[in-house]
Amino acid sequence: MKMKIRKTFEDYSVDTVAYCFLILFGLSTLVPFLHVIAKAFSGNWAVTSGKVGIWPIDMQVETFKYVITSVMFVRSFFITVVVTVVGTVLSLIVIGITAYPLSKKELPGIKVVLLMFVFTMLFSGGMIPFYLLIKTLGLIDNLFSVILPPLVSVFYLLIIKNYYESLPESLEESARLDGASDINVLFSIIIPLSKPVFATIALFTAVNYWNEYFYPMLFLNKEKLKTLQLYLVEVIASANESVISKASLEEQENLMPENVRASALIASTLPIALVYPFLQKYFMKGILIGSVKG
Amino acid sequence: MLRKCLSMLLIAALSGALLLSGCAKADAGKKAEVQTPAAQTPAAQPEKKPTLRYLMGSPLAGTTYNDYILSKQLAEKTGYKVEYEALPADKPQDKLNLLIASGESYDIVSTGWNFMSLFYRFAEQGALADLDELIEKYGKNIKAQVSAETLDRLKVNNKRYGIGTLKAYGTDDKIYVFGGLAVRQDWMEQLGLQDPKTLDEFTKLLETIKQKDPGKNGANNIPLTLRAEEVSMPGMILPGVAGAFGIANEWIDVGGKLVNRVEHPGFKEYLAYLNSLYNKGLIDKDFGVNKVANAEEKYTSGKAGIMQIGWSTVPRILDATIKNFPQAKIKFLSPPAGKDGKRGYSMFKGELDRITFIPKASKNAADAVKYLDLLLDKDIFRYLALGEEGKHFTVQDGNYMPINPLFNDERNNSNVYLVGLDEKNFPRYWLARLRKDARLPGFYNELHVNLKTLLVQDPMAPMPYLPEVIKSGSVMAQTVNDYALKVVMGVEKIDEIDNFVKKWKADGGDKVTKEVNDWYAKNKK
Repeated sequence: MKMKIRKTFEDYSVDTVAYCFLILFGLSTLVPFLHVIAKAFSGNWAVTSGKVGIWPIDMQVETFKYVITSVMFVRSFFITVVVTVVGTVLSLIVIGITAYPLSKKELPGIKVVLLMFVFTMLFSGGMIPFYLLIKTLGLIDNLFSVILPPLVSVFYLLIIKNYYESLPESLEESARLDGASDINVLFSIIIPLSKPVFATIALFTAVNYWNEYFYPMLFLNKEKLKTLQLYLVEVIASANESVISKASLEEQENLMPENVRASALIASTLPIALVYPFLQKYFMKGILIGSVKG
Repeated sequence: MLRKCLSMLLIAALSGALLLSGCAKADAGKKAEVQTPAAQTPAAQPEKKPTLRYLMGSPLAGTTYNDYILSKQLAEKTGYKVEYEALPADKPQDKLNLLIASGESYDIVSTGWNFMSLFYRFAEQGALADLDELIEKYGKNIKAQVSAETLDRLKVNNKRYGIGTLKAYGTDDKIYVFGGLAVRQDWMEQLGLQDPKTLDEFTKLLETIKQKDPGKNGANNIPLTLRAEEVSMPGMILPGVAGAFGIANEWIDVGGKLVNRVEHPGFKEYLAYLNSLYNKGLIDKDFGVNKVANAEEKYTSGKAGIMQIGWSTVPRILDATIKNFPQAKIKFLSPPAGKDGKRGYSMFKGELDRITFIPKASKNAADAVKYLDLLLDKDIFRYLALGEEGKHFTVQDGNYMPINPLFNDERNNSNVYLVGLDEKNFPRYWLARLRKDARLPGFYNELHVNLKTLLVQDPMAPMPYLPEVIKSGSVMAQTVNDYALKVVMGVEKIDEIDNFVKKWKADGGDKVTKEVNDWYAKNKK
């Protein structure tokens, strides 16, 4: 029999106030986003004189169309998608496999290996040696220079390792009794059981790759090999103040109008903003499954 | 079943990755191929021109250098294939530092003049190719067209390491003014005011704007808006107003010696004046946090009456203002005179716009110089700057008139391709670019021609390599500006400026002054 706790008048009024406050607060976080969308679809003169609020003035879709169809945008969008997809898949495979032996405490020397992984989280060789390393590997202007460095995030590695450790040993033991080898155990038992955590890590890794700016900035010199973030920085920073005053006359005239910048921003954020809610489903499931022990 | 899925995924991912690396490596492979034949061919075969790697200092707006039609046209005319790359828009100096330090073999690097301290550092540390010999052997056009003065500007330890491109100008005496104080002329007409000739009249103009409020802004009325940098930063200091105190430029010639603005008595008076304006509410209260966009916004929405505008941006500002106020008109104020009759907008004669240099790691330095020399060939230079007669431009009464839209489409960005100028002819070519908007020549002339006698030459514009200035210049300018800001806003007292000046001198001001004066004594004109 379900017990219903009756709400008093007090409860209702507190609820109303809380809801109102939270709704207003939630909407207010939307305002800057709406403002950028409005700027993207307004006439340039309205944007310069600051008349645009959360609604477009002198509505036009030309700027957005121009950005979407511009060759550079499409190219960098495609490159970023490739980097994100390949990077995420490879990353999951590598981390998923690496975490397995690390979760086996009985292996001799495994603690030392783990320590070496963690060490890399704290120290790095510096920017110029790193650049020279990538250069000697011949990876400059190669998409792998952007995919490989962030491939194994030790943080996520530890998360997955912990998850493996939380799986009951009895499952593995029974599988071995049936004659399964280590690889069989990994691929037939462990990984299928870890789907939730993999989905979560996949999401984080994908967003990480999508937003990656530092490695592309360092290693991708060719004009045709820009990722979306690099392209965005160009569009936005080209009207940056310090650049303006030091730029030559003609460079100042060729500034990107504000609404073009806003359009580029919207065009790049939209894909991730659209995909995220759908992946949220798995993300939430993942957290819940981990918490309830059966 | 699961195994199959996983292995399929693995195969797909790996093959995808391999394909990608294949695509990317193909270009690298091609490059290597083109370079080796040049090294291998003995004198018997005709020389195959190598592909030159050219690094530009900033990205091209809206397209890439390799796709821009001018690149292809140049390649046809000169016979050299050039592969362009560009530094990122964000922190380009760091990236350039990284590239040069790791020995990237670019053949030509071309950046704006704001990279000068980095350039000098590279030259000092031996990262650049010495151009003296190469220019002697292959640079006959370079020597003919670029004045010796300009060529010597980029000498370090008596060796030439770069070629300078003078800042664009449309008059034969090479003067260049960035902009001036632009006022809403319709407001002045409405209030029945004349151009202020003295500083007092200027103050009165501001006060009248504040009282009569022609923009009907009420509490938001801002007679004069500016940004934090315009308080005292060199090159941006409030034009006209600073001139009234004799400190239009950072260095002022006082009895044959150069004195820095900070030590000049006019600085104290200037700051006191600005402080009084601020207290009376005649200056934008938020000027300390104004960015360019904020200032423009206030001006175009009719809240502000006067603002510093570069002459090339006036059309854009005017368009935005007219949309809001159809009767708006803009004009430049002539600089008001101070108590000793001092006045003036700062002007830069002989300032460099771009520098071009060749890293030591380049494998084709000789060809690079040959290519740059070709660019200065009289006909090719004209083609680069203007295009083809009849197609891109016409000649009317000795003036070059652009044929739009083709001129804009194909030559608008030609300025970044210029390495050195045909210094005799370029002024006339450049005026064609000015004519692309019918209003631009008017605004340009207001500053460069009509107000010519009221321009104060910056004695440091033709500055060559001066290590102390390079090292501490920008940091000191920032310190001075921060202090000036505080004084104007009343946070620091103007009477204590002597302490600040003493500190400035000790922190490097004396060293810089000495170095500057040593150079000035030898090169005064």
